[in-house]
Amino acid sequence: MRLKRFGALAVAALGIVGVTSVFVQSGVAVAHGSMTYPPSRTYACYEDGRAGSGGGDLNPTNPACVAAVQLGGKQPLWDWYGNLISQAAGKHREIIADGDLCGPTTKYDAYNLARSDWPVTTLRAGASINFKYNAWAPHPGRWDQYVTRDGFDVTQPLKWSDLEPAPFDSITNPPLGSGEYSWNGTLPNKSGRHIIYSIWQRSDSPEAFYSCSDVNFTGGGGGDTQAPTAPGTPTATATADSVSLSWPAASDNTGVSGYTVYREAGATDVSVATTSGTTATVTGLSADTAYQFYVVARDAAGNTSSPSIAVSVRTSTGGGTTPGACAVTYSVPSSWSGGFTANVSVKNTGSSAVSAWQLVWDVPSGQGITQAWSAEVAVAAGKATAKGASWNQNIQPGQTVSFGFNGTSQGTPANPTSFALNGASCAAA
Amino acid sequence: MLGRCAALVALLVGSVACSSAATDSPGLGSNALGPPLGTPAAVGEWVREKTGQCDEVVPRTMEEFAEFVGPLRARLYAPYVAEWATCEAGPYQRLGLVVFQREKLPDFQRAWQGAMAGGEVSDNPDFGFGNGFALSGTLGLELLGLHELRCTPVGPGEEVGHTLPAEAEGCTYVQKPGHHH
Repeated sequence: MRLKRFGALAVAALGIVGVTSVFVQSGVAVAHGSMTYPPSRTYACYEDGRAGSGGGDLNPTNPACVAAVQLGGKQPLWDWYGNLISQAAGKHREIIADGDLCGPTTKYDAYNLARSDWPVTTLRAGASINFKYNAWAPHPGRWDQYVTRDGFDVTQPLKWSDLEPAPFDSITNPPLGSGEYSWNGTLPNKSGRHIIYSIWQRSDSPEAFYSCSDVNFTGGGGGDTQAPTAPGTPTATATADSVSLSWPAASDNTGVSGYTVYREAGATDVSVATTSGTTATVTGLSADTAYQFYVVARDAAGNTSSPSIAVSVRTSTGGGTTPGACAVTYSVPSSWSGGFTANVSVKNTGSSAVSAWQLVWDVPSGQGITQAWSAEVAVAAGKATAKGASWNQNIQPGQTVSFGFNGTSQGTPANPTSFALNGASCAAA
Repeated sequence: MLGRCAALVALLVGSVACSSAATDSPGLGSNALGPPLGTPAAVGEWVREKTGQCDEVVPRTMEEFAEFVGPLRARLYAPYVAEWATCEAGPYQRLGLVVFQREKLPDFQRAWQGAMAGGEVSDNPDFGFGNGFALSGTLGLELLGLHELRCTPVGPGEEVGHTLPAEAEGCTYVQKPGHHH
């Protein structure tokens, strides 16, 4: 890969090179990437274009790539790693229309062309695979890989309903080396022409990346289309900050390969645990809070069951996360007469994930909060409560989430003196 | 308020929301976006100062521009482009350095608004905008002082960070917090 010199803007964005006064937005770092194995359409056409140009230009020869360039120009190939929506925030199915999955913005729209002649990678059904995903800089996040259902017709626009309802492969924060994420997975038991649809949702930003990899599965079992039965209703036991769940097993004609536990969270429920067994413990919860969980089973072919009946459970009072298992950095990068901007970073210094985080602090006298980003912030009875957005509501051990707000102030804005994360006091970083 | 926003932009790229009242005056708009750069060579020099790359600025024709962005976006961008060039600045093997005809920026923005209203394009311009110019790549560019040009209204509850009025009514230059696209 010709990546040697292509990191300057990324490096500048990280504030490593050319630090001047415009680089004060520390903490905003860069991503950009796309699936390189199995190759996404943009990456495959980029490589095809390189091969067809003899160097210095991109002149693809694959008919679908040629058509895409005629429609959308060469820039999407030069920028093959930039197929993204910056404010996706996990709402992929809400903001991307059917037919636009492979190129959800105007720039990449040509990669939605419903054609059978895109560059195709042949894969063995059910085999192990080492996924590779280019990235310019490490970022926390989750990758979900979906596959199209049996009977999918690649000559028709790709719709959400063409995908199996649950990803056959998911990973959070895979290892990064040499500018590339890679991780091992197991391919679904499919046969023939399909699309592997990958979504990378960053957890430190609402930005999400999308890629379609055209594949041809060989050696499949003829396509298992039978979904597992729904798991039984879970039972739950709660502490102040965790819930242990167990449920009767689902059944399947080829065997259940695993379960995903979801927490109900309004329009977009949140996957909180995956397991091959029939128990799971969800940690990092808020004390004295009601939660609903349900379970979905899946098989090796990627078929998923109907959801189980949800179980409602309330965490006990008191307790919360271990005191001192979090650290908060609060800064005021700018202020003016009557107002200020504050940036807040919350680090999980504990050993377990914090789910659905809420940060509470006493609002200093004379201050108010007018506008927040990357979190919902409400003030009541002199206390501010910040809740993570849908895309950053969980904090993995060692991970930091950041948010900010504009506030009003009488005089010089004073800093809050203490913070509590899900009921546990935090250390000042 | 606008003057103060301009000063803030010049001094630091913060996340203070400035006036969002759009104007249609050629004296405002992109003039608040930092140093005015009127040639691709000047843009290339500016990128080189920031990144240590963009060593070789290659002047390009408008035919090459159309080949670069494709016919649809060429129809929307090209009538308002004065000249353009490319250079290599990581991660971009081919980064477009696009200088606009400054007096036509209001027309450019209104044309884009019309294209969105008519369903011709689904989203806002995809370049990163500076004072009279734009870069075709947007990775990390707000950290270089560039802005997204937005000609869609702000939705309820939508986060809007640093905001400056653009040249056409209904368009703004924005830098969203934590946003590098």
